Amino acid sequence: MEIAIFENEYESVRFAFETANLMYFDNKIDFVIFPSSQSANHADFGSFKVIFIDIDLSSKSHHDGYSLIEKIVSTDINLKNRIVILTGNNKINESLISRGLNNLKIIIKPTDYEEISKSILSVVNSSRPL
Amino acid sequence: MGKYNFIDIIQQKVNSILFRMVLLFYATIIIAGNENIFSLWVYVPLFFVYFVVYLILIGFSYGRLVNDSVFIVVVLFGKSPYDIYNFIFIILPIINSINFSGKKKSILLYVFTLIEFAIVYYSYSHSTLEFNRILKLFSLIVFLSIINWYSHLRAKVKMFREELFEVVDRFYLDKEQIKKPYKIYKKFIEVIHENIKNDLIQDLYCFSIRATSSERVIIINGTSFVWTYQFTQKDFLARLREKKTLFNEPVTIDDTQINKNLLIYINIDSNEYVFLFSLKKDIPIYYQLIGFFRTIEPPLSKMAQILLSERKLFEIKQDEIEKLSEKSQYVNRANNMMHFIRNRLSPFANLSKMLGNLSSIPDDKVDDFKKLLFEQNTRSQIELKNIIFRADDMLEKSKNPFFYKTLKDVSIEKTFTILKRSFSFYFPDEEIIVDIKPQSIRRNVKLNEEGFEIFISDWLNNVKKYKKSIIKCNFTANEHKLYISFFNDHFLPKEDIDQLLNDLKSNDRNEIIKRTTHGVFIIKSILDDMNITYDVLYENELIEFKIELNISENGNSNI
Repeated sequence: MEIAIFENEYESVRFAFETANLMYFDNKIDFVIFPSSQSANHADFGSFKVIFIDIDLSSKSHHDGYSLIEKIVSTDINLKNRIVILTGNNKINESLISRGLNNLKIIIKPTDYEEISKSILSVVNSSRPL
Repeated sequence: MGKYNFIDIIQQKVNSILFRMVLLFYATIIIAGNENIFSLWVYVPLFFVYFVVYLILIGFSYGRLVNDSVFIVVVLFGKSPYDIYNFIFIILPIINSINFSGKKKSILLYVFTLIEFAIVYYSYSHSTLEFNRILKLFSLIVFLSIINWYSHLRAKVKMFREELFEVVDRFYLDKEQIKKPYKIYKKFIEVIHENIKNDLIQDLYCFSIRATSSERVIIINGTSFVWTYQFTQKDFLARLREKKTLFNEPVTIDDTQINKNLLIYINIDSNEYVFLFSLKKDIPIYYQLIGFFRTIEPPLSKMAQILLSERKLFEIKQDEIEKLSEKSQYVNRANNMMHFIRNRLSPFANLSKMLGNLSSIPDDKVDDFKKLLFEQNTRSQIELKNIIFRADDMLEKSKNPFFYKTLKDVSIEKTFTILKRSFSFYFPDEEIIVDIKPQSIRRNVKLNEEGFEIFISDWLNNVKKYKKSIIKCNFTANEHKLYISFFNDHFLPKEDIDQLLNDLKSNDRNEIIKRTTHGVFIIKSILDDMNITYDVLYENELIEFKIELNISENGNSNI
């Protein structure tokens, strides 16, 4: 199973993901890390079971977290259910709603391996086979 | 009607009554010193009727004129018009009219005087036509009329100027105009047109001369928006400064050549302004000769003062915006810092969770789990360093604009003024109770004015929110200390008020910072920054917040 993680500071969450992998998925998950949204220009989003997207406060890159979500959803609306937002911004929901992005799964940092596991499981269990 | 006009009208009324008294008195002398055609029983009721009719017609200038004329004719009927005393009696209304040089100027007065002379002339049995005497007498009337015309013109100019001043003054009162000084220009033009009874001016523009590296004429504003403009003659500024007014100076505005114009130069505190009137037609020679447009210089000068103070206000506002931007940058940095910390806390959250679960990990996974645990610990140590580094950077290197430790000497009077301003803003119906003995020497307290203002408005804002009906403020001083106390009642539940009192009294900053209510932390920090002693008391459901400042004296009596 492949999971995409869009996170420019992966090191700060790496062990939470790896511990989750060890404890709940018998190390069967391959994490594919994208340090920037541009690095995923040619990625096949449909091949990932879960897509973690970090939204930070700045929107320095042309494709910030929000645009990336919009891009993924525009390729296939069903992929919306596979997205989990990772953010340090506890007011993220308001920002998402203001951009017309409702009902997304959110993890507000700081986080731990159990929270990560739960969100992966909830996505995997709820998603319909494509 | 302006103030000037109103006072003038009152003066005119008094003058008018006095004049009638003079007429009656003079008539008595003439009747007593001459042979009269009518008996005394005609003259006595005449006096009475004349005065009553005058009172009835007091508001009608033409009616009064007819009444005066009839009275003069009856008194002089059958007497010599050449007699100098009699003649003066006839021309008394003309002499008096110099005092009434308002807007209305009546040629009728002169016509009536001539008719009166004619009637008296024919009523006098010994009248002979003596051109020599008539010429002498009538030349007097001509001279009087010239004086009359001139004082009328003077009053007209004065009134015109007053009206223009009023237009400019209205600027400060009218909310609509306060940020749009150019709106005055249209009214200004209207008043000029009304006064000269000539539709002369098209537009009015204001320029200022900026003495930067090269002198530049900069448009400030005008009756219409200006995109481009050019004064074609290079020496026009030198000529304008010398002559103060220039006619028909070559100038283009928005690519249109303005051939007919008038330029007026104004200098206020070495700030130079140029007002440009674009004209529909040439200024009549008559107005040019008497320098009529010089009369609009003082109102324009006042206009320039407004523009100058606008500019200064704008500069102050700009400074404030810069300060505000500095503060908002600081707040944003602090905000970002919090998000940074949230992000960097993930390794600790995970570490803690792993440690908590360590005992329940199945045997087959425990070795891998421990390996990850140690790696997570190493990562956490790195993140800890990152967090500490950023926190130090925030606390030490960046300049905190909310810092009120810079104190200066502020007079007790100024301190009161700052307090009063805020207090009246929040509680316009309440008065501060002052107990201070006036002193000849200046007495100061050490304050940071901005900090003091923030403290007062923070506290009063809270009082306004939580009070029931009582608010009181005392401002008292003895020889060494200034005390400011705020008393108020409240509708808060007991536990809230206990908490508030505790927080205000507590020295544990960490305890207070946990709560966010009442802005107590900010109030305390500001007062601590300024080194001001404070205390809070609670008695009979009244909260008293009291601050105490040390008074220092200095010999300088400039308060």
